[in-house]
Amino acid sequence: MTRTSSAEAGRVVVVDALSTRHARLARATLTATFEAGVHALVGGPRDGGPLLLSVIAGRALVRSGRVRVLGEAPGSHAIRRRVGWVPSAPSLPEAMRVHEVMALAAVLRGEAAAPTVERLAALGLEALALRRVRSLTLEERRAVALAEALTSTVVRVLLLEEPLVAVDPRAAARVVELVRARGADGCVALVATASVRDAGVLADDHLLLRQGALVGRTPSLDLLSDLTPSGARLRVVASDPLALVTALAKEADIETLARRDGFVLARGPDATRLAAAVGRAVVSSGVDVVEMRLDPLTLDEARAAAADTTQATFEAARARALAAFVSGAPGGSRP
Amino acid sequence: MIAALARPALLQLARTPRAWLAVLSWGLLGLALAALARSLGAPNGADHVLVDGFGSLVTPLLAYALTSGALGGRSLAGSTAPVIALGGSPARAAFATTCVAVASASALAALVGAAVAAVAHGVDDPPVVRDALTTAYACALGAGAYAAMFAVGSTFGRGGGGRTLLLLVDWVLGSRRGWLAVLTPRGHLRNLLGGAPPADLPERASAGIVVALIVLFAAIAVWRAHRRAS
Repeated sequence: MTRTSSAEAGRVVVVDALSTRHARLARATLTATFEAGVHALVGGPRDGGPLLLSVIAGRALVRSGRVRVLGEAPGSHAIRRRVGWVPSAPSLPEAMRVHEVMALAAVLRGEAAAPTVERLAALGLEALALRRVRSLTLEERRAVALAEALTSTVVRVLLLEEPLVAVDPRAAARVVELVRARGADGCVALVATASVRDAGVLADDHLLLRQGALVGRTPSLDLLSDLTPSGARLRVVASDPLALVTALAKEADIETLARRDGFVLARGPDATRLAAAVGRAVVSSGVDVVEMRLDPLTLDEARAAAADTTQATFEAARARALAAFVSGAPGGSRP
Repeated sequence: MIAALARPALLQLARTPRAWLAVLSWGLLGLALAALARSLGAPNGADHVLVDGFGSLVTPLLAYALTSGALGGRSLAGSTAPVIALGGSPARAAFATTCVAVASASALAALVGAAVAAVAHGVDDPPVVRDALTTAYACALGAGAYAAMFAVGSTFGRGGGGRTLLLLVDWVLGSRRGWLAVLTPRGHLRNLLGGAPPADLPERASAGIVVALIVLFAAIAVWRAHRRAS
């Protein structure tokens, strides 16, 4: 077991040139470091997000590369109790009651005894305390697993697969707040999701994955909407949709318009110009706006924008390096 | 820690009616065989029932039902996955689960074995109390070895189907009297209950080998479950 190097101090999870034995991450090698905070691995199951979580949890085999969790190899006993892994179908002791599971987890993780009902109440699940695990639905089971991981004082690494999908509705409303609180508290929370919207709501750091490869990393998915070839989309619910559409049609910055189920969907070259055009149309038509929000990017749009940004950054860095080399070389054009 | 890790397997056994139904059925079969021997007035009824019916049929199936029950009908790695996900060590979880299977099989087989010896007691059998105690000790050892062997079998196959395979292997190899029977619980249990010994081993040697088999099988089961979970 190798201890962390000083260069890795502060980086809670380090993934270095990783490829796994599983086909989904076998074709590409992945390098990324994660510090305290909430990080989203954006991509479908085939893009390797859930698999990366199971590698970090020590439950999937690595073919090459290196993974370090809190400075240790994943899956070691010291690390296992500090990792809260909630996959899409979490495994809980079937014959136990929910409060017994919480008590067992507290013993195994070595944390100070805390009233299990209070821990469940953090996600509004106190009513499940006396239920047997085998009687729980998948949504309730996921909510219990989330409550256990999110309220543990020992867990420093949270690995959550689609935490806002197939979760008991009582818990879903509180998950975002709790995950963000743990991230602010010094934990690393890695969230694997195929939803760009969920990633935007949960995380401050977004890694866009495609077939196991990292195509881009961005702190804000909204910023990417300005960079997509298809532009930004704004969804407006107004008192008189027809009047708004008529006014929007006169705006030069509006590229396409659609009216669906009581809302108006407008597309423009970027978010700023689109918002300005909609604002002008609202004023000129005199309609009341009930709701107005930027439509999130689709997964493919986000990945394309992130890939373009990465490529552009690389090109700019190469151009700068080339310019520095030319100007610094003997006989160069430096004055 | 081991007690905490054993709790899920214990509760799995205690709270699963299907597991108890199987255990009850095999126990009743043993008692029915004993009652039949008694009603026929066999002079050494206990000997016959224990060697031919209880030792060769009921004890392995009782241990099989209890091991499957403790594991929730899954593989050893599958049954310990929930506690590992909650931060438990794979090796310790596998050890605790195997201990639950071995201890419950031993205790129950000893209890039912003693009852069978008492019910089927004939005039030519040894004194009833001594016979019941000897039977309990032999059945406890035999069922423990079976449970440990089934724990090894549970590390093979997705749902732990290897335990059924080992039940058949024990049936085939253990029914003979040669050296291959030394590797099976069946041959030694038969010897301990007063039947034909495997490879002409004395009873004391069989008892020692059974204890060694329990330790060996448990170690293999823990090692394999740990390897699969890591």
